[in-house]
Amino acid sequence: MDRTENTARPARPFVRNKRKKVCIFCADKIAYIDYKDTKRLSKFISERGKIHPRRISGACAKHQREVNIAIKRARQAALLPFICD
Amino acid sequence: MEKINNYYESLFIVDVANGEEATKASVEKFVGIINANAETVVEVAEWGKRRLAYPINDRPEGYYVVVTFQAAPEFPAELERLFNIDEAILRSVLIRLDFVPTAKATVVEEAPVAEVAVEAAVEAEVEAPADAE
Repeated sequence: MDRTENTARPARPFVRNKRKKVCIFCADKIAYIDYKDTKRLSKFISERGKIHPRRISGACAKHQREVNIAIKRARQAALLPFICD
Repeated sequence: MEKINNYYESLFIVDVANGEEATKASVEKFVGIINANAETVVEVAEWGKRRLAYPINDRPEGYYVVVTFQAAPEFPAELERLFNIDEAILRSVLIRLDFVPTAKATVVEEAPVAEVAVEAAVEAEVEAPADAE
C-alpha cells in the first residue's frame, strides 16, 4: 500500500486521558478465572453478548486471555449467551 | 513410570423434559460412572434446575451437575464419549484443572434477567388456563 500520503498529513498533538486502568484480576490477586463465575464474567461482555476488548475491560494481556477462554467455556455450558438482542 | 492422575472438572446438563425421576436417574448414572472410574472424587455439586442462556435442543431449562475428580488421562475421553451417546445429556463441558481443587459448593446465582424470564413464563402459564375457559 502507498503510505506516503499519510505522512503528508499534519501531525496531530497526542492528547489522551492519562488515567491508568488497573487490571481487576491483578488487583484482586485472582489466580484462576472460573468459567462458572458468571457474575464476574458478565462484566466483561457487552449487552449484545460480545466480549469487551482490552481497552474497555482494562484487563492485562494475561488476564484478558484467560477471561476470553472462560467466557467461551461459559457459553458452551449455556451459562452466558452467544448473542442477545 | 509413575501413573499420571490429573484433576478434571466435568459440567453436564441433563434434560428435565423427561420428568424428575428420569433426570435423577441420569445424574446418578453418570455420577456413578465417575465414582467407579476416577481415582478420587473431590466434589459433586448439583446446581439443580437452571434456565439456559440460550435454548439447547429447544429446551429452555436444564439440570446442572458439576463433578470435580482426579483420574487417569484415558477416562475423560471415555466420559465425553458416553455423554455424547446419552440423549438425556444436553451438553457437557470437561476441562483439565491446572491446580489442585478444593471442595467448595459454588452455586452460581441465577442472573436477574433469567429470573424475570422465569417469572414471566410462570405468569403466562397462570394466565393461559384462564384464557382457555
